[in-house]
Amino acid sequence: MSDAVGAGGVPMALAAVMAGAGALLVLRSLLRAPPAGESRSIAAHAKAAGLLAMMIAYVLAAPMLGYPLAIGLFAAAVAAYGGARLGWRVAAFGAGVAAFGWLGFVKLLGVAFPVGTIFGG
Amino acid sequence: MIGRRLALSAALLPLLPTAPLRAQMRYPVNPVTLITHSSPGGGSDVFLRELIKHLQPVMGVSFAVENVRGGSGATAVARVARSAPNGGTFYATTPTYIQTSYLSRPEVRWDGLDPMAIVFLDPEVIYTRSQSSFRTLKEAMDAAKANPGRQRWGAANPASLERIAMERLNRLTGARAAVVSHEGGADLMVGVLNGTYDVGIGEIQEVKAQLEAGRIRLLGVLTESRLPEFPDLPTAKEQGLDLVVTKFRGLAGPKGIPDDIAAMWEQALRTVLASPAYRDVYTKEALVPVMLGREQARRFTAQAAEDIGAALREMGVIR
Amino acid sequence: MDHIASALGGWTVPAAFAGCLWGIFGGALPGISPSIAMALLLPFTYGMEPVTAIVLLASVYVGAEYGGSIPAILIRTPGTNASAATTIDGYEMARQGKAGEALGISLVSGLVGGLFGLAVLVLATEPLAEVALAFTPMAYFSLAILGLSVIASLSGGSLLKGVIAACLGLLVATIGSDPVSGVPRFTFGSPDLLGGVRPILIMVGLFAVSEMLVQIGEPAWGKAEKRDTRLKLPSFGMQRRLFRAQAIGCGIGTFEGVTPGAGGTVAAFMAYNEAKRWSKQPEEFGKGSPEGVAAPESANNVVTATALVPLLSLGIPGSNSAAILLGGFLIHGLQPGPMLFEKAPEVVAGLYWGLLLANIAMLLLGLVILTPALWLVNRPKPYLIAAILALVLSGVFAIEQSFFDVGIVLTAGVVGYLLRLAGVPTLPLVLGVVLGFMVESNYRRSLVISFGDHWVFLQDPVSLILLSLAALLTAWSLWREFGRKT
Repeated sequence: MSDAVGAGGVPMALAAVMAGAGALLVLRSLLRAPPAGESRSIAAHAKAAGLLAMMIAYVLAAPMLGYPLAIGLFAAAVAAYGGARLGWRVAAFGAGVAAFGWLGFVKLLGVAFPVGTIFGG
Repeated sequence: MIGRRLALSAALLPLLPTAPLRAQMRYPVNPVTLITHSSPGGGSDVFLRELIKHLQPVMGVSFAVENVRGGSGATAVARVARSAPNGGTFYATTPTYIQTSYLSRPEVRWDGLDPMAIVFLDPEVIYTRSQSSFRTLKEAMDAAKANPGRQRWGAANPASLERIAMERLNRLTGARAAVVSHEGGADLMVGVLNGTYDVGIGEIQEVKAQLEAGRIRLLGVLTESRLPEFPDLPTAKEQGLDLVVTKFRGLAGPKGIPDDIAAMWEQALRTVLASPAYRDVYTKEALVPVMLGREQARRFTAQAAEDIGAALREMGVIR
Repeated sequence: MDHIASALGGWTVPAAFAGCLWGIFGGALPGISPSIAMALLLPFTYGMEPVTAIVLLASVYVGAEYGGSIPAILIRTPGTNASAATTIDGYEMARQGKAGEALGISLVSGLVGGLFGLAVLVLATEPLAEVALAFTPMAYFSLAILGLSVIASLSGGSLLKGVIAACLGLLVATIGSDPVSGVPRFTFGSPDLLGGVRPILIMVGLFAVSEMLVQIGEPAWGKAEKRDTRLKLPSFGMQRRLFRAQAIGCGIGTFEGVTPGAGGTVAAFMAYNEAKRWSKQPEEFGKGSPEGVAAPESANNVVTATALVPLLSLGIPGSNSAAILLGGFLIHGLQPGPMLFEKAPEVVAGLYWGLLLANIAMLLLGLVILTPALWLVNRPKPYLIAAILALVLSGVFAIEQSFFDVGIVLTAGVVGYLLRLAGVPTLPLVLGVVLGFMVESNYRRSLVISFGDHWVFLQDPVSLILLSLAALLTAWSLWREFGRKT
């Protein structure tokens, strides 16, 4: 019913090629210094990790808070995290993102974003 | 859920030339939402939109069609299963939701919904290109039997009823033909047209364009009896091959819908299927009306699920 | 003459402009593909005249395919699959403060491609349909290999790392139902993965999210930098320089568009590659070369038109967007295919005029909206990062109302970040994801057809030609990239 290669054939072949190329790379790096990728400070990595955490928090919170509130909070938080001065500007920005998102995606495109369980959705 | 608003307004368009709603029953819920996992313009979507045009005057309520894509139907099924069993929400069923239940672990399997009705069967045809020397299915299969391990047949998605049918045909004839899967009928049409495949299988809708242009020839239809649209096309059964494909279209709702609602649907669908206006439409699309009410639909669906499960196991798609 | 009157009369012109505007908007939203933008309008077309409906859908299609290049250039986020190649040099130009120029080149090249493609569609549908028909699964496999061969020059100096990245992309493409046997692979029982991972999710994650993860840790952009604040159309001299790149894009786009399945993404990457090969200044590619924007943009706009060749002549949709257009035809009782030209020539003429109007609308609308878009992107960095991510998270969810998709994007973002640290090029990965299905499914189909004989790839004439071409071009690229260094 199925061919000689089978469902597992190609993934295994790919894994083999990757393993081979990876081994060659390791060998090469042992023999001489490899061309460096981007080198960044720990602080930069930590900052990126924090941003990732915020995105994950949005995904987890959105069903509960509802899309407009969640995306507004997210946007304000990220802007502040990125260095914007805290104050009315950041809050207005968050509100603006929430409004734009709601108008554009929920009203105009008609996509069913979560209303939020705290609002009875 | 592409725009409840858009869908509702589109559904209401046919009502604008204000014909009085001659309701023949008092349906308790208004509006009624029909959910499909196909995208707008897709098979189920077009089917539903056409159906509701004729259902609205009969049932006296307005309908909305919602496209809930994702998870190969799983999202749509789960949505309907969770809805209130008051006759306000239904899912447009095709074999896909059964297949998805076997191929993955969806939140709600096919048996989490209660079939309400089976309305149509999509007939499948076996065809070849017009340059081919085969004139009937029998000729093609005889040639395959005489030369086992030589022919190549095109089929659609590997888990589809079309492929199951071709594999079954392979076994019936002992042809040991190569059955090659594709992404749906359009893809494999190219293969039939350029001669890569000796025969292909597809729905009438899919092959119509080429048929009218004279580029392909129908060899046989995989139904119990001949299609009214094609009275000269013999069935596979008539040609000695016991092969019938039941690609159904129906409606299913959440469990617990009261009997009187089920009865109203049966009556409404019967009326609609008998109406000349709708009959014109579905005959042109070569759909076979089959009107099964709730009890029969339940048995039919359970049988279909069993058949599909057995076929998938036989083909080694699932364990 | 009747056709012109009926085509331009009534609602056709407003439909073209409205559709194009909607399309640009939808295409620019990361995650909303052209086919989704078209599908959203489909219910509205039920009550329309057939010609108006077709013009509307076609205009959305043209607008959306173009719209994806806007965020690709401005914020390194491909709005559509086909604009992925534009991010390479487009974003680089934006970083150098030349965003207005990049947008101008993209607009003009897109127009050139769109008009060229339309001309090809109108004049050469029949012969090109024969080309489409000549393709067997063996030929498709070889075409995909030809597309993959581009990784040789996109590996940024390390072929081994490029190969690993490409294999990773190909592996991601295996997630879902096996194309030949239907067995679910790497789905872990999840119905969300049964259909596979959409390439756009990988692209948005790899390009946009990883870029934001990097940018959050970098200091704010200096104020003293000179940045474009307005749209800048290419000067006459620049246009002369771009001619070669655009010509290459048009040629490749024609070929790729006609063969169902390959699509704008591959055309864009191949055009980029070939433009680099034949350019007088190849060293600029990857560092903000205008030709690196012109080639892919003209290619993917050509594909927009030529992808309609199999639809109109054979009734076979070669892409998701063409499939929606097919749905539009069917809803109005029209059957695209060989008979359409005989039964409803006014609809075909309407479509051609509609495409022309859509291209003109694209130019005019572009002139109007690109400068405000540029202004938006020149806002302070923290707000920009927040807005971009909010847009990405929202747009991706909108595809199938699924947070699972958002999860995939985040994962791809993290992977992209790690790959950058390791110095692994991401473009081969993208190509692997885009082409993986085509490569594997046709490879295995060919083996089923040949009952296991591998020679079939060399026995099929088209396949032989394409494989030879791939080998030749790869060898040439390898020599150019690595031969001269040693």
